[in-house]
Amino acid sequence: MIELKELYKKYGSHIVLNGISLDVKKGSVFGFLGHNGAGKSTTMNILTGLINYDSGIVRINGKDMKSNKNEIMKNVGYLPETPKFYPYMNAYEYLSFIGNLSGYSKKEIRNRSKELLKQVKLESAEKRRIGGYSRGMKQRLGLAVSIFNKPEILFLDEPSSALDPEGRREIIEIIQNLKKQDITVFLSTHILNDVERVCDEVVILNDGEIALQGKLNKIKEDYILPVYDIEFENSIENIKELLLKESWIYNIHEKNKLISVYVKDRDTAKKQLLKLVSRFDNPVTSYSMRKSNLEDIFLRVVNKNE
Amino acid sequence: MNSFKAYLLKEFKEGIRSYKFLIIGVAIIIFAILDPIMLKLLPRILASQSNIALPLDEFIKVSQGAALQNYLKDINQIINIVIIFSLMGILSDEAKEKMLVFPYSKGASKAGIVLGKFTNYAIAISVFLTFGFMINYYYAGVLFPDSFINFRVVLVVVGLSSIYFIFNISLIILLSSVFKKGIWAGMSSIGIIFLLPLLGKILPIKRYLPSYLIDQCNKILALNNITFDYNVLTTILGITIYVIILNVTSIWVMNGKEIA
Ligand SMILES: Nc1ncnc2c1ncn2[C@@H]1O[C@H](COP(=O)(O)OP(=O)(O)O)[C@@H](O)[C@H]1O
Ligand SMILES: [Mg+2]
Repeated sequence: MIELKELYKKYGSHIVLNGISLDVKKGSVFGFLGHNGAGKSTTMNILTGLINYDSGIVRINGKDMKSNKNEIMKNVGYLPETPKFYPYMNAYEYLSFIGNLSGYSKKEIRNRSKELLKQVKLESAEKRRIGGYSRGMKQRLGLAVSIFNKPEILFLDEPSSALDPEGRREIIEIIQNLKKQDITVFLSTHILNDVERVCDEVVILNDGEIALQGKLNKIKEDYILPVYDIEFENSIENIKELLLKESWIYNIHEKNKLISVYVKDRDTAKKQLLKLVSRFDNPVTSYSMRKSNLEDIFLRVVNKNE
Repeated sequence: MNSFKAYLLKEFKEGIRSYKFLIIGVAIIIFAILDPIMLKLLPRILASQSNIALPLDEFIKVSQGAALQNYLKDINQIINIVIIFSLMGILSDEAKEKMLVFPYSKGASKAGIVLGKFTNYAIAISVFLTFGFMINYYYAGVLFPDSFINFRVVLVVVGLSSIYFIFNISLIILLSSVFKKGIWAGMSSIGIIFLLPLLGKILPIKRYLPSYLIDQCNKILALNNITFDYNVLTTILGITIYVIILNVTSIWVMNGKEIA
């Protein structure tokens, strides 16, 4: 459905995308992760035909972007990171404007607008100027705009990042609904909780390169290793250095009297870790093991590449 | 065509709600009303300030035609600048504010966007100018009843000055597509629009310049007779070609522009 091969994009001498390749299957919800400045929005702007790229192949629905841009754009919906509207219009007028652009009849526009305003819960605000909308309302209106012409592929650039938990839940519910309608969703985000709830497949982008790519289930299986949280009675000094000397420990996060130990080998850790920490002249007040989540995987993959 | 219609409607709404129509319309109409009144009062103001009683009314002989010429001059200067400053952000602001992301992502045609905007203001300004000249014609007639200008002359003036402004609008649109900031589009528009007539003084191309229409408006108002130095159709044909070139270039610029 979406195919990228060796995509390069630079601004001046700054290489933003350094040869990205990925493949998104029809009907899947694809999570596109990466911290700020990784190049997520740039990639999405390229995939939606809004900006040009320096080299590489971009194919949507089997069609090449360079030669079929207008045709591709008609089947694609895009919700940019910060959606912008003409502030003097109200929500209904803006949707009508989009309907007019797409060549819908008056009646179709009316029905579709009403339906969408209901879906994104903006019915009661439809006659108010968009200029006075809150961030969350704009995001919901943007979602309505992006799916107005029933696209086959929907690009959502951090749709829930600026929202409160309630607003985020609503957006996630809408995405789950879209998935049922067999719409392919390409979702960029740094909120990993959202990814775990809706995505089938993920790519982690780091500094313009792909750091990890695969099915979410598979990644979890492969990458999820236990994390040990250990709390000491006294403040921690050079414990981190000592522990990191062990080959089966690959990372340690410390905070006050608490350390989180990320291990590579669960069997060795089970046997060795407790012994190791009991040797320090610093009583352990708590010791627990948890499964690492996507966030840990993310941090691990991104840090490894640094 | 869908994009053209959508943008024509959108620009019309924006013209009203962002007060652009109001500003341009009020400027055109206020000058239409105040100009003749000022001309009427001017000799009296001058007389009240000089000690010797000069027969100033004799020196400054104002007729309806002269009043219309004066209005034409204001339109060509102050109103021109008001229009330039109102429209200088017509494309640059949309690009800068990322307003085009949704329309572009829906596959909006750049030609539709540019032509929708152009058509809206071409019509709006022609309508305002028609009202302005009618009002001015009426007031000047009331205040200076000695000499009347033929109404057909005024109609020709309305037509020619509208065509002149249509050229200016397409020029402003092009510059607004090129520059990132509206103010530069505005400054360069002012530069080109006011320097272009000077070219006619150096080179023998006067009648191919848009400002030639304003010159001829002045002339026919002074003569109260529709006669031109050269066939004015040549100028109109030239302007039609310039407008097409300017609009096509704007569309081309918008096609290559990264708006996200
Ligand atoms: N128009 C631009 N001009 C110059 N640099 C840009 C431009 N857009 C983005 N960048 C740079 O490209 C990098 C990636 O940006 P972006 O794609 O927005 O990242 P993300 O969406 O992952 O946060 C950043 O370093 C950013 O500064
Ligand atoms: Mg971004």
